[in-house]
Amino acid sequence: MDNLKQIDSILKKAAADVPANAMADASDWNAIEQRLKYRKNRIIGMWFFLALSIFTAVSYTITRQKDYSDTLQNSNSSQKVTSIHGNDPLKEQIETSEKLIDINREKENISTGKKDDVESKIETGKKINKKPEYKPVKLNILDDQKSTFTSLQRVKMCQLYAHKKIKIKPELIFYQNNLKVSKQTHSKNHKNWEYGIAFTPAITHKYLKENKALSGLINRNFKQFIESKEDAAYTTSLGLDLVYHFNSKLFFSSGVYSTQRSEQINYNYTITEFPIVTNGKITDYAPLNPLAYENITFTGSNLYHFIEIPLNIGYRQSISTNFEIRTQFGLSLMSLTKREGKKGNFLNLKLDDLTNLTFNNQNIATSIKTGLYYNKPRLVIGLEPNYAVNLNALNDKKTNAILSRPYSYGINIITNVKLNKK
Amino acid sequence: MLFEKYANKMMAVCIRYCKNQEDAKDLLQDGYYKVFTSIKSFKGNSKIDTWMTRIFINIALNKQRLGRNKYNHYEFDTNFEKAEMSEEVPNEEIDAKIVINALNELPDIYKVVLNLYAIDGLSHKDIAKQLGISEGSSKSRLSRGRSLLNAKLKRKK
Repeated sequence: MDNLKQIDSILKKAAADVPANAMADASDWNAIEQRLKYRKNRIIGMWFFLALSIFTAVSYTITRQKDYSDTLQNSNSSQKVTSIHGNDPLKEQIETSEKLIDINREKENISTGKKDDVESKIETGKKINKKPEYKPVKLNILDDQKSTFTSLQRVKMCQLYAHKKIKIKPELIFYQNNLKVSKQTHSKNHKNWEYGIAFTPAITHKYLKENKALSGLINRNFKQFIESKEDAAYTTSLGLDLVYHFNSKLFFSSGVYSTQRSEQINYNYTITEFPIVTNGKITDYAPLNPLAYENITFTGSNLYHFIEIPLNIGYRQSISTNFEIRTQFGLSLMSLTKREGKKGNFLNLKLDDLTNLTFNNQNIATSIKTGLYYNKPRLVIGLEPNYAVNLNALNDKKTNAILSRPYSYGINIITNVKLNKK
Repeated sequence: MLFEKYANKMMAVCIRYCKNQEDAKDLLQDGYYKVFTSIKSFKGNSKIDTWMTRIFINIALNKQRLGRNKYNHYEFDTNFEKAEMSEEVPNEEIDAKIVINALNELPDIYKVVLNLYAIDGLSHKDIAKQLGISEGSSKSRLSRGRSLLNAKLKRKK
């Protein structure tokens, strides 16, 4: 047994001598550099998406602030309203009541000689004893139209109520301010369009299947040298998103996208034999002369560019004021517009340029996605796991023994900016 | 810098844990990728090459684990196991390439334990933890691995 322990020292010695027999070369470094570069690009992509999200959020905040300022401005300027706009009976009543309030205020100013400023009245401590000359107004406001008041609105309401002795319900004063919000609440329950920009980062891979008609032509080293060296890759989809809501639950979505499918390639093998084909089948392999050995080294991404037109049907379920769950599935027409890269041949293992291979230019894919949406009048942000797969093989059945169906998966973060809303 | 200085040494590690040169090159690339992406976690408690070696070994073991689960259900060569296993050991002058080739021909379960114990200097406790086996298994694999390697070396000699 002790003798056998000498094996350890033999092993140690042998291990120390190995570098002379096996050397790393420049191709190894190139492959590592390529992968590090890819990682860097991926990080850049993530930063780009983060920047896009921040930009969208900031744009949304600015837009919202502008809307809020406009609302306040409308509230202040309502004192100067002299004409009645629109045909909304509730709005007309509100404006009539505001006119009455204005008249009272003008009368008070004349009698007291003070500025029409609530704060200045508080400072001077003067009380307004004059009885307001107005007719009480009755308005019929539905409960769901009484949108939540902001704190600032409440303060204004209290000031008016306290100093002007307005005897109408506070809700009435602010009804006009909230007309917009009420309308939006109602519009959720009606048919409307959404359109905007959608950006979808994803991981893509592919299903491989032997083509039974040509399976006899697959090289015995194909799996080891080629198939196992092709991996998933990071891709993106960018396009115009179009959604039509039939009602508060069902919607239809479509659009036009520029979509990528990709595969990470890391070939590194030596062709030492060639297949002998008889009657459409490989019957034997003949060794190559060592001088004719072919070293295949290729690292990079194969890219397939598509124009995608999805036709999805979806269902949405509100879970709170701003959040909803949307689920959609459907089919996409994917038109292959461009392909870049190289691929190992299934028969002789040599590299073929993708542009020389035959692919189906028109493809059909199916997708399913469900996720959480943050839904605001001008913005929809969705976080949803997405799965999409080609229904047909991307490469041509007549000439390929290995059929490939790309798919994409992952948790997609979707940012739709609504450009318009009715 | 790290590549130029240690690539051959790491390649030696890779060759010991892989079946062939192609796999070793893959492992070398994976290992260096991991080294470069996690270099910030190197705290300087050990030599940089020791830290790198640990990374390469971990990746090799993970690959073997995944590969075994996915594709390879190892078929043991029972005839080989029954081969003559005398304790007569060849002298230390035997060519390193022959030793490494013989090591690579061993079933993974013995090869890995021999590598970890005899060359990388891990204890049975560490090996057991690393491979998810008992210390007893580690010891028996080592013993059997030595016998098998010895038999192979004698045959090659």
